[in-house]
Amino acid sequence: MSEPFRAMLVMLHRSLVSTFSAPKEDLPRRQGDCSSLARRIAEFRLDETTPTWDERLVEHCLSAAVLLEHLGEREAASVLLAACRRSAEHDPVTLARFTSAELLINTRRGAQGQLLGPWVASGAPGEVAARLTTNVTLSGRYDHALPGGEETTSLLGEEAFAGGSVAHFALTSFAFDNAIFAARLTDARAALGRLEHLAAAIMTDLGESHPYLGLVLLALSSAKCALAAVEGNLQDLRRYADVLAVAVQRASAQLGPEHAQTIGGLANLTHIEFEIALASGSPHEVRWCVENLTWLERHAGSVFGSGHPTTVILAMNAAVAQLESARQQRSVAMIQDAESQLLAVARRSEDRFGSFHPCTAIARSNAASAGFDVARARRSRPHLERMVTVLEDTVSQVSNSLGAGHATARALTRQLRACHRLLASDTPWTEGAGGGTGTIVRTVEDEMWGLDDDYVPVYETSPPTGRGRAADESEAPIVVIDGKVKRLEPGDVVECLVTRVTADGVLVDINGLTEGLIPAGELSLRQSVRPEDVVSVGDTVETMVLRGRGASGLMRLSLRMARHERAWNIIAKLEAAGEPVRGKVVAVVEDGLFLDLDIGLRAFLPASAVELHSVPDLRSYAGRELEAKIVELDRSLGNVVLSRGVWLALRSVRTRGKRLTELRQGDVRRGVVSLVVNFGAFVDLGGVDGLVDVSELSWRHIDHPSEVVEVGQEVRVEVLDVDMDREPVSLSLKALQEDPWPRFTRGTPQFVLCEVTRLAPFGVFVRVGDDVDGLIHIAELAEHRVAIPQEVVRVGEQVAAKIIGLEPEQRRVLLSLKQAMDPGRKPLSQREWEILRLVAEGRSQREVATTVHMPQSAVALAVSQINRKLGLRDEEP
Amino acid sequence: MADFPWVRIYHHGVNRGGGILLTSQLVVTAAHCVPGACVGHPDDEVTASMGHGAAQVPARLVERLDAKDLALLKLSQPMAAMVRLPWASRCRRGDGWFAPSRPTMSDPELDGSVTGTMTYECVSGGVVEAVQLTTQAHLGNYEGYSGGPVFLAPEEANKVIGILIEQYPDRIDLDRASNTLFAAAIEGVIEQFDTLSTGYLLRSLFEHSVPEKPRDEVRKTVPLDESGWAAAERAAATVLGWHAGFDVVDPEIRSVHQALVSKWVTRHADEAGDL
Repeated sequence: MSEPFRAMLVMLHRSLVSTFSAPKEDLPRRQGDCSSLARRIAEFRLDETTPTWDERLVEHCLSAAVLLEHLGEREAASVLLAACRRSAEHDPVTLARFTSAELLINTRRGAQGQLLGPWVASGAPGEVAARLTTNVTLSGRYDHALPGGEETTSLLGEEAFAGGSVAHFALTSFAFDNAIFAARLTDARAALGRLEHLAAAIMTDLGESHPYLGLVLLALSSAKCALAAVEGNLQDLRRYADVLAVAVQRASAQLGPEHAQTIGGLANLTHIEFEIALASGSPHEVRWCVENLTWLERHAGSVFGSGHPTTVILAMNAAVAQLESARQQRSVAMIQDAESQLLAVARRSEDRFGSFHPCTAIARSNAASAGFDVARARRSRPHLERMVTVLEDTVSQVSNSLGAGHATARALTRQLRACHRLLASDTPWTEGAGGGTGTIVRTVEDEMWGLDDDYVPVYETSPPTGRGRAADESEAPIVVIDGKVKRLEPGDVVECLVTRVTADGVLVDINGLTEGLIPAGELSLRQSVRPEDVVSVGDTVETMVLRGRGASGLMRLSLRMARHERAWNIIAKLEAAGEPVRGKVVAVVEDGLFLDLDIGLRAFLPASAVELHSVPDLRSYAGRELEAKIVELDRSLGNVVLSRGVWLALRSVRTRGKRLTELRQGDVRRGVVSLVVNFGAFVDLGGVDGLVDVSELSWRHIDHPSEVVEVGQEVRVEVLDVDMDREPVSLSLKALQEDPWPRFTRGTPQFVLCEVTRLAPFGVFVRVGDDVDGLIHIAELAEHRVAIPQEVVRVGEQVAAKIIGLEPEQRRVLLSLKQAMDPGRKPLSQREWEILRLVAEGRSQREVATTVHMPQSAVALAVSQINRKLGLRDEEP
Repeated sequence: MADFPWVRIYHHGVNRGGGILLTSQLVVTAAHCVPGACVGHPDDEVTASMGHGAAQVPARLVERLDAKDLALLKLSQPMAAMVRLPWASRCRRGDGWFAPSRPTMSDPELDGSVTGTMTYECVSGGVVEAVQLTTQAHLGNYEGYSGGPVFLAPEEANKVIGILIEQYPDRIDLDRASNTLFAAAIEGVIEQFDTLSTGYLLRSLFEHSVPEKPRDEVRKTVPLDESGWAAAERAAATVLGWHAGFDVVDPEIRSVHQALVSKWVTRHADEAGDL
């Protein structure tokens, strides 16, 4: 290579940088120096002295070109660009950098449209084109016709570029994006450090109130979020997301809500919120983020058009979020929706970016993995194999175009491996995202995550402790399982001690040397449980190893999977032994009930198998503990189907004979109402069914048994009759209740308040008190002749009546309305009836006063008025 | 789900007015909605709830600007998972507006049109960028609506333009309010608080890595983070006659020094990490 060229270039770059940071009075002289040096460089005949272009030289060259452009040395800048162009053609990363620089230069020259168009449309790697287009869009420079576009341009105007740090910041920001995009985290971290320094310098140069600082804040907080997300640092991610949120609001206020910066910032923020929601395992928040992303996509579509890169990438994010939410909810229909949405996005992305672009590849791959899940749920092997073929094709295409080492290719390969594994094993579908094929949420990953099998980033809430670090990180920890010494591998079940419980997960000690993390989402089968409700510090728990130690030194463990594994072993044994399982009804659907079994699995109980007889309405079973027999067990599909009917029949056969002999007439038993029919209620006495006839349910008259009992209610019953040959046993509820008749007849008052229950042609049936029925004959309804009772009373009306006779045989009271109303006297008001009722119940004056809202002194007055109206003496009512 | 990102503010359990969620945790309201509360007040003094009847979340007063009748609160837990954050936006004369935050469920929602934007002197003496609003509802008194966000119609846009701070009295009956209201323009509101300023936020991002340095020091250290570079530059300038460019140097001397410098530069270029 030409050493002088390299040396001069580096020298030029250095002097340019120092020129931009020199004091003002020194500037003209330094600029002159740079210019003469630049002209010397421009004279180099690069054909003869082709340098060996390495990354660093390219960086020097591009940076120098940009800075020269700022100095007005256009020719030299063009020469440097041209020199880089040839070397850049072979390497996508260099090409991206090169084009970024070219973009900056052309933006200054006002030629962005001409240059950008061909790049985006040409056969240049879609990745580069998309990255650039996104960069340009987010910088608000893509299209001057955009609302606010001019404003940004003026913000980015001469004043802003006067300081070298601004140009430097823009360039470093591109460098950061490129590093993140190419999954080079070390570079990204270094770039972020430089961005911080530059931001500080810009703040000093331009003053804190300069509008450009808003864009610096947006860029820096986005960059911080991106790195925190990739590193899986949830705590930092939350903190930076807060700053980003304010930055977005500032951008919105300054540039307007339709501005590309604002929309880009909010898109970024919403995606980060989605990742936070994913990490904290809250399905509700994930669903909300999906809605937000979809809404934002529509908004971006209406501002930029549906084919715009920002819109397409937002559509992709929304579809991915949709899929992840569907997986969390384990809904096949929703996964299918997400699949079709992803396929649509893949087509749009292909049109915009080309078929090998990561956005296209990821959309297609996620769609195939969604299709894979649907096929698993449907048990369709051919469909499963077809989806794997689609995935294989995508992976090979991406690997060929971007290289097998590219982050996207690796993420896809991982997804494919997960599918292969699931196809080979019989892991059930219901495990959801954690043990499923995984959704690719971001295209960037840390090289150190080589052990990770699924891509969804796992967040940690605390830095790894010294102990975790002390162990050799490259080796899996050694533990003793069943008396054998072995190295822990994914899938192993190991006992651990809980050392710390936080909202995001649980830290455990594995063998006294190694620490592990159980993320909150891996704690329980039930969603959105709080870690402290599941375990507490000092507990020993069985966990399954999900993957080895990553960058953090913590092993990823799952309590849910370990319990799942154990639960399947237990349930298989129970099924073999013909034993029943117990569980609580957690959901009632049209076809039956879902039970959370005590052993930690979810099972389905079809409606036809809930009872021995059919049950029209299952809602009353919600929340009940049921016992049932396993009738179908399919581990590969995660199906547990139960039958309570079979279990009840079995139990009844086993216990009926024994129970029947134990029952005696007059016994008092406890039972549960199992069915309510027109003629009575069936009560389960623990293996023996008994029937309470409608007449035995209550002392009072009832129209339907449901007035007194309901299914599932626990009742005390007396056995009336046991017939060994005939079922059911006759029972009575009424026999255990006090007969209200003697009580009523003991202290019969003269006047009573009663409720009309039924109208008959010959009179009115009323209820006196709680349990005594009475009859007012039609002739006793009024002074005048009454044709039908409806003329005088209505069902449900409260009336005051005088008792005129008792019919002990029929347990009935004869009453009269006519005699209760003395002609010529004023009728009682509503309030007076209320007072009458309360006084008759024996309430104190004070209680009466508070109930009817009147002064206590007025109550006595009201009572005497009532007495007068009823023609009674004062002490009577 | 809540339709709009507004909260009700309670001070000592009393419903005082509304507020707008600027981010998942930061709420802006009128200072007179949290009378007497000061930064560092007890946790249970100020609470906020999303809509009527929702659970109340404790809030901490971050900053209050009494002269401008503005206060910034931070909720003890984020609410963003449940709302769509608003777009801070500007408005023009004649735009339609509405304020979804109302004192109780039995009070009406305010709406109307924007009369204009102006610099406005508050009752408490401060000067703010404000939006003058005309409301269609003649209530005579708009107590309880203070601090609530003002959105641009139509509703779907979710664009917030300001927060209600003052009502203008009826000139004939001074005890009644006219149907002219003033809202602090959201753009100005964001600028008012130190906590929301770019400088403060940028520094919060720097963490401990970039201490605040005097201007000159930053200039020296930012682009050249190795002192060696400065030394090298000086040496190179001396040797090569830097100020005059390469031309003045004798060709022989030049080639020797060039080789020297290129050696030096190559070595240090590999060591130095900066661009």
